[in-house]
Amino acid sequence: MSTQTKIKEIEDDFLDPDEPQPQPAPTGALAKREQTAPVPQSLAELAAMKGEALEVVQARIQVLETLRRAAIKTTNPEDWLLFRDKREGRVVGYLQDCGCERVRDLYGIRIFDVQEPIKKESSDGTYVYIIRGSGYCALTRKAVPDIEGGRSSQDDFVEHLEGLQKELYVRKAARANLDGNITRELAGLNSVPQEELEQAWKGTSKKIEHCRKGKGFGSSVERDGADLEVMDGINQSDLPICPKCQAPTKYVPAGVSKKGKRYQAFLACEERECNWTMNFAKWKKDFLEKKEKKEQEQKPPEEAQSPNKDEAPPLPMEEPPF
Amino acid sequence: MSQAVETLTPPSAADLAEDIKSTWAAHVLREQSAPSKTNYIYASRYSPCLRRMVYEMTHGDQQVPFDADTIAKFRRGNDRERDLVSDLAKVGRDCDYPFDIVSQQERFELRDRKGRVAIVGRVDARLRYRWGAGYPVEVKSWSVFLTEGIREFDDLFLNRWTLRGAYQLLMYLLGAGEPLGFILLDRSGLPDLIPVELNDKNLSRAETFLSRAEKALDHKDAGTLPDFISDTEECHMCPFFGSVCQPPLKYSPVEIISDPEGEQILERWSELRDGALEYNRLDKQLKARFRPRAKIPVKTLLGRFLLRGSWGKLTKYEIPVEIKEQYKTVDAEGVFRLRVEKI
Repeated sequence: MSTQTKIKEIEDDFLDPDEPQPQPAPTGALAKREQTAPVPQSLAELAAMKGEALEVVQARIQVLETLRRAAIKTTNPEDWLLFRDKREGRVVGYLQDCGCERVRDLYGIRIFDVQEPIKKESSDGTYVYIIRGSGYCALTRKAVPDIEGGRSSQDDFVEHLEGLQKELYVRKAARANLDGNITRELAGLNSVPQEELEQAWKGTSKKIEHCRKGKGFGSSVERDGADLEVMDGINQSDLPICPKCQAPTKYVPAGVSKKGKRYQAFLACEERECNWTMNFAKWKKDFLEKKEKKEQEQKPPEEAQSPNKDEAPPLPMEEPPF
Repeated sequence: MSQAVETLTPPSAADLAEDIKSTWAAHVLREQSAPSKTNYIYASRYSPCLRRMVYEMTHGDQQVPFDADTIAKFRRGNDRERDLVSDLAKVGRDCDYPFDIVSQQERFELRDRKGRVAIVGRVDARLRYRWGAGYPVEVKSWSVFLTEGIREFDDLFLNRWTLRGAYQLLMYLLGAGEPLGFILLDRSGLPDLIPVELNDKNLSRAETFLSRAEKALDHKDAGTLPDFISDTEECHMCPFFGSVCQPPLKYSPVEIISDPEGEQILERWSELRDGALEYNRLDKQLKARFRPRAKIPVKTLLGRFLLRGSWGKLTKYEIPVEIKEQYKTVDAEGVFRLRVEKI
């Protein structure tokens, strides 16, 4: 069956007249457009309406624009991942799966025909979970069949987990990704310009600066905005040995933890089992002070100023011509 | 490696605190027992979703474990519950109707009509009175946000979290054939003891749970699954959602209406809103500033304003709480709140 045929089938299913429709509001003055009158779908239907067609189209645009702004306003900056086009400098936001959950209720998203997640394993023991499902937007009456969602056992959020626990998280995340993909597709929130986000959050405490930054914003540490403690002046061989297990230590640059907590650059023991760490800035200050002191001590004491024997003696002053 | 670490300055207070906190979390996580499959339903696991009750038995081991913070909350709850039972035992000796605390953490089993162990639990304690009754007590140390609104047993059914505790106690009453029991509710001040009677209403609730447990057991034995529940909120709170269970989700859209008059009212409302809020704030400020002591009238000229204030009659009805309580009714849908947001 072609995708178009499937979309038509889904849309027809949801337009089943037997399906219970929400009751109109009790006040007589409120005439519900969406539920009571059939909404013209095609150009031909709109053309048949002649003068009214423009009004219908404008009303639709207004509804969709208002709803889109309302949907963005419902989300938090942390729900968005910003991408920057390096050539043009254009910044767009991608609504993450957690944010999609907040907008589903406005658009009337339905997710159905969800199949069992399929595990695809690689020879190195890693795996991905793929899950398929279809979606429908009760507001725009658009359908998206056979959408895929997936997550990998190598994703950052399960890095610290193992075994069944890891698998459960990956499976759950795959489903969340499917629901997110359907929502983004139906709500058109895949790629939203930065200006639109700012406009929707105007007058609230939500700021574009609080959004997560992705591709186009530099390295992971730079885009997290953490202080970069550079190894400037410190050689790898200067690093201390671990006081706990005497193993070598390594430099870990500043960044943001998985729980979203900022941390400063630190030294960590290279031994996996050992949990020794130390703040790098403190160690560096201490190390440089000691290094300077040591250099001072090794310097020979300065001799008293004496006329250099090799230096030519000053020329005798010429006698005045008179 | 040229530098001996012993000569380094000690870590900062923040680093030490971080070290202790992370080790603490690891310590708490070690205490967590792995979830497992069961052949029965736990009394504390009532769910409006029958499918979830089946999964609790058949896929109990496939639940995402709790994080350290949640386990720490459980630990605090358990500690608090132990303290409350200990205090209750002391209080029991001095009551007009003295009682003893017996059968603490006693296992409880309820069989279904087919003779299968359907519901299992652990009774926190029983109050043993002189006349031989052993009334079960379920101690709950929930968040204050949950307990604030709880005044009587029926209030527990208004929230999906407290609902489970209510069904748990009903199961103990049904299982032991006791006509009454108590929920001992921890609060920030004195704890509250909520009495529960196994009247017709509660008996029917208890039987509903037992019958659902029986249905869940039937599904488990037959290797089948009940239909999905059509409650999206419930699905999102379920530990099996996305991992074991893949239900369809259905959200109803916003209703789009055409009401030019309503729109005009909203536009005007929006224009006046900020001014009205400021007016209310200033009005309160003004009345507080120029309110004299009782019986003293106000007749003051301030700049271009003449202020006149007088005292009038205020009728109050000081009704004792116990009398007021008799006339109390709770309508879960009785209050309508409208939040208007300009997009």
